[in-house]
Amino acid sequence: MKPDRPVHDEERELMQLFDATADKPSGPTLTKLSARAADVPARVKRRPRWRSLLFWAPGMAAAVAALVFVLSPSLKHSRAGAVASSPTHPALVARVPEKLAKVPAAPATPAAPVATEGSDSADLAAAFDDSDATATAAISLDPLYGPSQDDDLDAWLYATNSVLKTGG
Amino acid sequence: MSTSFPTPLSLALPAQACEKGPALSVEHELVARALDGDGRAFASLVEPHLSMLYRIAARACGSSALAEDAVQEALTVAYQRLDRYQPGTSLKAFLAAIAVRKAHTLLRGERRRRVREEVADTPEHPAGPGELLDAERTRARIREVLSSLPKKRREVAMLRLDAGMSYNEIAKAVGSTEGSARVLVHLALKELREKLGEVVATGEQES
Repeated sequence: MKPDRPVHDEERELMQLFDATADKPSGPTLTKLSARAADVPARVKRRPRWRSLLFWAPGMAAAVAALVFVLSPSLKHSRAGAVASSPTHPALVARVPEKLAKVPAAPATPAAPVATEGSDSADLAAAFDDSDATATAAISLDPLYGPSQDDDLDAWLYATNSVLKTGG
Repeated sequence: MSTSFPTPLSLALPAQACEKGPALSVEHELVARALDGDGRAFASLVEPHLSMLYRIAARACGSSALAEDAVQEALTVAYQRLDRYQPGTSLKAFLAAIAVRKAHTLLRGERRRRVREEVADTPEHPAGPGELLDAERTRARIREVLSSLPKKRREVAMLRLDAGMSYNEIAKAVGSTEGSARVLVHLALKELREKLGEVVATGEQES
């Protein structure tokens, strides 16, 4: 079987190997397969798609409900945590007692060391050494070399294409 | 209705439908009739692709009897899903996608069987004429290498090398973009070539 596009030499070699070792059906075999194909509609009763939906929908709904039920307390908890960590949230500001509000703020953390004159791009990595793990992860270059899974190819190609189009 | 022998397309269809010409409307009508339970219409639809289905199945299971059963199972699945096929798109890709997934199951079985045979330490094939034995060994080696590939790479390799499909058709068959299909085929063939290096070299010398 020949694809409708020209192929490279390496691919042609593999193609020749696969052609040479392929099992081609004989005439009687093809006739038998055609006869079997004609039998398929009588043997197989197709199920309408809505019937499979009817079968799966209650189970799926129950599973989703159970998941929501399990996750909702933790979601609420994390949302409340997020609100509490946000100093500008109006509801929180209103609830803070006055005494607590008057407590002086903790001294600011020392700023990252300023690059001295003569320090080069090599020092950039050293600067990141002082930061936390998330900062190091943020500059990981692994994604530029392609996805680790074949299934992620689509997303990776889309992302690289969009970056190239925007000139980023 | 269903047990009768499939007739050629020109006989299976009304003369008017054939005279209208557009292949799309013919295919559309065949699909509609097959969905209504017309066995001849379904056979007319799949007949041009039976060789390709058989080749993929035989590649995966290595036995003609098993391959025939596998094709029949693939046709059964194809009929069950026929309402998802849109006439005008590639029926070859639609059928090949089902066939390579069936092949995946067969190759998994092949891998399990090979492990059992290694444990039992029995010869895989009875001794026979040298050339036949060599060819069978080559087929077994190809099956072994195919079964060791990741699922998607194995699928695209078989679609490219056994079904002879274009990148566009492969993309449709595996539900991906053409760009991804190209990359996957490239990776799959590269891996195949690395693992089948000695077999490819032998084939070149013989040819």
